[in-house]
Amino acid sequence: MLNAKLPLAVCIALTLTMGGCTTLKGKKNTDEQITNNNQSQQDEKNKQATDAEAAALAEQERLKAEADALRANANSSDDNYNGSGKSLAALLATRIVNFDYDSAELSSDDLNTLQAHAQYLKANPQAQVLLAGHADERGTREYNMALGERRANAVQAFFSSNGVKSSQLDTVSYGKEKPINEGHDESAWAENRRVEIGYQRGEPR
Amino acid sequence: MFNLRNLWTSLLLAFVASHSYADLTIDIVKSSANSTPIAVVPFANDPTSEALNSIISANLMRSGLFKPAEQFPEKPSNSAEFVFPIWQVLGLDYVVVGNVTPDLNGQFTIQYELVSTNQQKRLLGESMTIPANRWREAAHFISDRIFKYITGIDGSFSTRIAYVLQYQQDGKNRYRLEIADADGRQPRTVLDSAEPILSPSWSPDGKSIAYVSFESGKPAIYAQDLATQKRAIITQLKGLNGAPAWSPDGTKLALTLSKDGNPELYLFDLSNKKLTRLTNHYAIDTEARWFPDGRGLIFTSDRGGSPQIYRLDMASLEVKRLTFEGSFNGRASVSPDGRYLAMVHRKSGQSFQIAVQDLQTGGLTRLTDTPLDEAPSFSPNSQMIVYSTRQGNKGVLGIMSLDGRFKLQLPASDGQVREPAWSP
Repeated sequence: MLNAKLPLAVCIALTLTMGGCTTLKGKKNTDEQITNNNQSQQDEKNKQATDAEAAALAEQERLKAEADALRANANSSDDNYNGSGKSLAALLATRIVNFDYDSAELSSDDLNTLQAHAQYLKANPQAQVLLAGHADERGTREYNMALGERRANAVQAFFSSNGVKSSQLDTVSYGKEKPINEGHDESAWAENRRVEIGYQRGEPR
Repeated sequence: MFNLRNLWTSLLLAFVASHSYADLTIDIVKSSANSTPIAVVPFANDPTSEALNSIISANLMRSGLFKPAEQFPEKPSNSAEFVFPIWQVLGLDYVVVGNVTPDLNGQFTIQYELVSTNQQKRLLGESMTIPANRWREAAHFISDRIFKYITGIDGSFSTRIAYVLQYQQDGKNRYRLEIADADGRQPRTVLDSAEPILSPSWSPDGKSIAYVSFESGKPAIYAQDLATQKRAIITQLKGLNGAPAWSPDGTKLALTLSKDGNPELYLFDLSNKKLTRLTNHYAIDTEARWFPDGRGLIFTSDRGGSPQIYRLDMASLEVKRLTFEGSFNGRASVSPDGRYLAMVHRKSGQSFQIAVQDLQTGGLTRLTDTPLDEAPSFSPNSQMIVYSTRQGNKGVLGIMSLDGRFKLQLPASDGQVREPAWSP
């Protein structure tokens, strides 16, 4: 039974389009947030969709301006990239960015790291990265799978808006399936909420 | 009914169908006070390694509705041999007796009777002939008959539970989709993989199971025939491929895909393999489960700001929010009798627990007080919920009555268990 020959594979061919605007700054959901229960569904949907798009656009503009400013003021010295106090090599050696609970908002702490990788990817068009989104163990598995994807998409959108070609970028979400810290406390959760920048080709030396 | 053969792929993986894996053991966490006393006397000439009466006693105990006796004033093998007063004195009205006769063809004939010592009469009596190696099934069948006779409710003792086991090999995590009897025994491996497996969903006929596997490095949804072990790829599209849920008529799967930009619910028609999009919202929409009548889905969405449970009407595709209490409600399922919603619930600032919501009154009851409880799944008779919880640092399965008064745990002797799904 085990080694029985199975019929040929049938592939489900579907045309894929990765469309739409990826929100760069995820909605910040705090535990205490009370939702507008009484508002009609349609109003809420329309309003939030518009707000989200506007917020995403504004955020992209802001990050781009910030990045441009950083570039303009960049200290050309390799051991103080963008005035970060860290060398470009040290920033490129950092492959993890972290997130708040139930959030896909990029942290300003990670801006230099992300900038360094964006610059490297632009300068090395043969390089390719897999952006792997992860969540902490709180919340349900499939919801966390979606949350991990939102985080990976946030990093992807940052790279794209900073000129990295889409052919260099790929994403996956592992949700809470692959924690790097097996603990069950705040510090473990903080470590596990992350996107890993994994070079598939052309890894910086 | 959908014929899986049309879809089968040739993806031969490291399938292992062994029965040698460790059983899930049972720890009673909380017992119910008002359970009915019953005695299941050792069956005469019982040749089985576990003893049929022990399996039946354990089944009845696990229902939370019975308190099986551990000692017996006498051991009759049929209703004619009773000395009724010595049972009445002990307050034991219900007594089960039986005997086994092996025949020359390797079969067992099992006779059993349910006796009322107060009425001094036989309430139920049957005889069955079974292949010798099917005695556990016979014990579960007898348990179902006794349970149904006394409570009027269908038993769930002949059902199975699918779950994911995470274990270590050479210092690395491995994942196994297993199916065990509802008492945690006889686990069998459906899939063994170096990459995560999650979200098992039974077909309504109990013959197939759909699940998400990361074995290719990215998530894909598979459906696997349990008898032949053949399987089909349902979707392997860009982005998320998650949360499959078999429709009650067996013809479709509801699932989560993000191929169009963000997580939305889709319907996959198993006969023509066509996908139909069901939701359209920039928020996360996932974890669909069907109402038993097939006319609606429940799902988790953060469209209102925090993850909550919504109902989707299949005819109009209209969406209505169902949960309003708590900062997180997710992974809900509807009881087979359509009365309750079980979900992972978080009261603001607290941990993640299992709660049920009465679908008529909207009233929410928290059933667990352990941290990080997950993945509630109803027994087919709507009497029990299996869920994943933690015993120390170890992931275990919990089973509880719908009122939360009776709880037990099914830990694996080695590894972490989670993602339970109770078979139809």
